[in-house]
Amino acid sequence: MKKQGFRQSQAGLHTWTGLLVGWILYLIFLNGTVSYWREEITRWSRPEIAATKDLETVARGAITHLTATAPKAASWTITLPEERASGAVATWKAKGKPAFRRGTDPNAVTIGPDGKPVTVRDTEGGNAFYRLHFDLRYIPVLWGRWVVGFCTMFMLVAIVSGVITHKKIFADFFTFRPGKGQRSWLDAHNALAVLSLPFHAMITYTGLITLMVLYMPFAATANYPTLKAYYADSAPAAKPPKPSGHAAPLVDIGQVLRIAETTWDGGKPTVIRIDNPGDKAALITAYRRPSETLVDGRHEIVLDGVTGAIRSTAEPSSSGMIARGGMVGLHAARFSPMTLRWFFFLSGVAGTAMVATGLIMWTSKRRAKLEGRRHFGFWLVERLNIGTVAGLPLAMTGFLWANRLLPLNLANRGDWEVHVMALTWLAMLLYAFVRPPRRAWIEQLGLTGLALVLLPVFDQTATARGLIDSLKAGDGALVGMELGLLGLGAAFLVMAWRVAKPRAPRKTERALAPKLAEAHG
Amino acid sequence: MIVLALLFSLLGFATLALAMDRHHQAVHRTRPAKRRKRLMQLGGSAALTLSLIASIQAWGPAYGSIGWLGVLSAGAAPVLLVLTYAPHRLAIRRKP
Repeated sequence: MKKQGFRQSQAGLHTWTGLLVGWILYLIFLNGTVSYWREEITRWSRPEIAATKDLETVARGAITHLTATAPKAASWTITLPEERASGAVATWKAKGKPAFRRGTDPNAVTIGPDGKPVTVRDTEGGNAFYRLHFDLRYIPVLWGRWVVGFCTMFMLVAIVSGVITHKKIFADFFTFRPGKGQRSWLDAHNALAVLSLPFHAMITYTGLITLMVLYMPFAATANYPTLKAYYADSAPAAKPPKPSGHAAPLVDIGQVLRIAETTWDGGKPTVIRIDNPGDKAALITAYRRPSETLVDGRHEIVLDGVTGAIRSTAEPSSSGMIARGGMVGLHAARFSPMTLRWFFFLSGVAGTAMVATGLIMWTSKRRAKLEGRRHFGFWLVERLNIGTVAGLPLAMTGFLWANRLLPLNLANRGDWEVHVMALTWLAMLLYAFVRPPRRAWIEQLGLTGLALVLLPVFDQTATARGLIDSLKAGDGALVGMELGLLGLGAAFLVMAWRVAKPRAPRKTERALAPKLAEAHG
Repeated sequence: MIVLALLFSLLGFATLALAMDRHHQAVHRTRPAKRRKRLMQLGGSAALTLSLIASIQAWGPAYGSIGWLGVLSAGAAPVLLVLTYAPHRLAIRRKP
């Protein structure tokens, strides 16, 4: 009897923590999952620029550009394209000015695969979804991270209490009984949760770890006067040397790439910073690509800027740093090879669907009990479910459409793409409150499906990088994007269709039903 | 190697599912005999172990153990769908 009481209390905990943070969790899961294709989405968002594997040409082009525009800068920074990304960014910092932090860097110039500067549309690309999933938007970044951390903590509670609540985790491992209303939602929710349980637990826990110094700073604050001092000590930056005042030519950038490659066993830099360019006291710091190591953190080489001699190398070395870096690496999967990335993505989709089915279950469970009576809480949850579960994907698709349709010379165009996403979501939330719920589900799911399916059609007819062009060019990332949009769109259309025409139980299921009931007691 | 890991995972979960009374009944209309059940549990677990080995072969020990968890999910999901929509497809020939 006592045991039953415990399980029931866990069920209550699971239901109410899940509901409390469900909508934001859905946003976090959905945008985080999409972020496994962050680089691909960014590439798709900037059709002006092609991919390249030739880092040397790009790096040389960046140096040429920086030498011409800012020969007397305090430092130059070159961000080289990652394995899956396109385009380099060259930027510089004037003497005595603080380093640039957030927003659009006025000194930044994009360098194309031929090493020449290119004009690309102002867009955040995949970063918009990536940042949304832990910073949120339109509120201060730190608040956003606290909200996300709060929700993540409750997600962890929901995972543990969910496992305890699940009465037949092994007996029902492979069980899904469709066409049975609430029972089917519970089965789907359980299956999505159990089949990817290791992923859900991992992603939630490591998610907290990524921002652990924000959430639990006490170990750091107990040992350091300020958090800033802790950061400075845990990731000591090589202090830029004072310029000597004597001019000296910079070491060849191709040689820097080769030195990095030898030091890192074929590894490549993602960022190269050059302090005091053109001075005898020039210093070059190369940071390794995060895609090459599981352990997230700074892997760097510091070189003499004139001779190219290695001054120092660094990588995460203490066990604490490696443990944390490993978990952060596991969360973001920057290391991940392509097939493994697909498994991460599919598990993320399962997680998103798990949150969505959980939210829907809350209403499906109570609808029967209410028997058509009005109830404020029920009404609110049902409408928020529609506007979020179906409305948020539409808003994100709206972002992609804004990327294609907003005028290229619009001021703050990148921000406007995000505004379009936010406004679409707001509109869908309002829409869900004024339409009958079933109609709203069908229309929002259908609209999302259409908006997704039409994107590749638009690309094929109105841009030079449609599906067929990318197939011809053998550009796997863009082919994947177009097919992915088509596939997702089809999935949403099927969902809309299923809501519109609920399927009658099939013969085999009807025949099996008594047996199943018997098996369950 | 990754395909092999997936196949082992699929095979393992299908066998484990058939070792369960309810699913065996749905597929074969009978409950499995004790011995048969035990054998299938062992066989299924062995196949999942082989799937881990194949994953490590494909990705190395660090990425392989992570990838295996994905392979497990990807193998179990189709078994669930087949058991739901076409349980007879899972039928294996009875021993003579």
